[in-house]
Amino acid sequence: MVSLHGYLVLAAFLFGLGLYGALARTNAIRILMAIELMLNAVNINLVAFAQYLTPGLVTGAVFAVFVITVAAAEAAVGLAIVLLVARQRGVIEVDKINLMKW
Amino acid sequence: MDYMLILPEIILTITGIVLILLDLGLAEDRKGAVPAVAGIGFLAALAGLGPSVGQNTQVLWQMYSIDSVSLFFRTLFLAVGFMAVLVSWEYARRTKMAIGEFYHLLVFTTLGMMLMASTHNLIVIYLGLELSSISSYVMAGMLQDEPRSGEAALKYFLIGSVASAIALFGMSLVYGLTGTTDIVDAVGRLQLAPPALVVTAGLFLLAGFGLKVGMVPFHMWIPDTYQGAPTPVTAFFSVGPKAAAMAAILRIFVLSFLGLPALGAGWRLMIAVLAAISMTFGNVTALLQTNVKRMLAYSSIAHVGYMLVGIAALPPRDLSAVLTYLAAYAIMNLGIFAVVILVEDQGQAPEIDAFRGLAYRAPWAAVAMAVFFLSLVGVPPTIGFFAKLQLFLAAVDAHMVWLGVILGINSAISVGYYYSVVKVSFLRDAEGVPPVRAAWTISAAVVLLAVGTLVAGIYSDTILRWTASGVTLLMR
Repeated sequence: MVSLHGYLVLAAFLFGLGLYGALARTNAIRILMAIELMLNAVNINLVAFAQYLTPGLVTGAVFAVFVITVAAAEAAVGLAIVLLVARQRGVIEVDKINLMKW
Repeated sequence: MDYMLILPEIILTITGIVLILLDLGLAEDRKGAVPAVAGIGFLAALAGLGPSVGQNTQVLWQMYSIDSVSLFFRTLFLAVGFMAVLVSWEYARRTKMAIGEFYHLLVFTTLGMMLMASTHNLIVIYLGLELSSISSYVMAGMLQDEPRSGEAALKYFLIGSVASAIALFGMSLVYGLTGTTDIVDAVGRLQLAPPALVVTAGLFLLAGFGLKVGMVPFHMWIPDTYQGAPTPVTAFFSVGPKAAAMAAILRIFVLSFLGLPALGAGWRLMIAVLAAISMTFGNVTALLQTNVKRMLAYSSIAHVGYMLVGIAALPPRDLSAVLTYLAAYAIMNLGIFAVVILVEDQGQAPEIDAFRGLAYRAPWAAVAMAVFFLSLVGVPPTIGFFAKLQLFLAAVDAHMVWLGVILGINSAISVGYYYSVVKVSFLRDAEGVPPVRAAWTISAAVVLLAVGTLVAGIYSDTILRWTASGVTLLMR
């Protein structure tokens, strides 16, 4: 059986990957995907903690269900905003979306 | 009965649903009634706070705290929401925003902020945070024909989602270290956990919520979002979601991190340094701006720095300094944005030049603007002065005189850019700029907030006593 340690390392790796993607990529859709990766890393953390540290209590799993629900809402709104910008400007590269600069 | 204590939340939910239905059912030319319904909803919810006064209890299976801190924040948010209805009324009509969508999003954002500020539970904090954030991303992009608005929404959405994910990772670590999502229960158990992991969790939480309040070094989205969003939305963002994130920082940090004997000093020093950098950066950069909205965005970064002074100075002093400053900031910042909206409603872009000769075009608005700026700088007898004085005293009491001195220097710097707007309003003639024709809603908002800035200054003792009474409850 995999130890708690293994799950935490996986989650930390996924989170780092997502954070790197969110900061280094310029395509808005890719950033959106990277954010989803970060949220799923959190879900692994929550479920692993619930399973190993508080067996019988489902708080962590319930938290993960809420995170999944919210992530879906966030993706829906995010895609709508990307669509709005694509319609207005014709690009979704965040480094080209720079009408405002100081 | 539990349900009486969450009456405001119930009323807001119903108002939001009614607004969605009105949006679907009303003909386009009858949508003028929508803001009125939203305004009535906010007022009814304010009245619904009645049963919560003087209560100190947990309802809904220990998920929701009804105490004087949550009463403070719920009152603040409902009042801010009501003022947002007033200042956006004419603007929304003029710019042909989708009124039905705008007002129900405003109502749900406010509801999310209330949830966030009145709970000890990480799950509810997260849900409140996302309810308010997701609604506000859409609000930033309400001007569909204006590319800047879309750009503001995209930037706000991307940064905001990353911020939520980072804060959430911190929450999952707190849960892992303590086995509970209740912050009050978590405090004792965190003291037994390995300090390195507690610090890691704390850094994630601080980064996540730091992004939401916009403190340096997590401020980069603030100027673009504030400049691009519709001005009433900017006015709302600059006080509402900011105060809600501050409430979450207070609940989480004051309870579980600043309270740890071994780590408290290090956290406080870090927050003090971030406060100093935030105010200095915000004020110095604001000096360079010609767009008033962008200038006020940088000014809001500086004001977050001021509030952090109050947090760094905990726990020898109580929370009353931070809470008083939040209330003061809400009044004066909404006020100054109301004046900006008033000028924009005359069909001008919010550049400093648009304020030329305002004292001759609308003397009452110019005087109100001067009052708000004096308050933002911190000149007596306005509320801004008393609130800033409390922060200064808190810093001195915490043996951080250097921080108090930086606070004072920054107030002096801020005179520079605030004065540049006042100068063109009073000293330049109004040639070539249209006369001011103000709708009654925006005029009422400006006058109410200006009177509030002065009256709250005079009664600042009462506000202090009220906020101080909440401290023990939050610290319990």
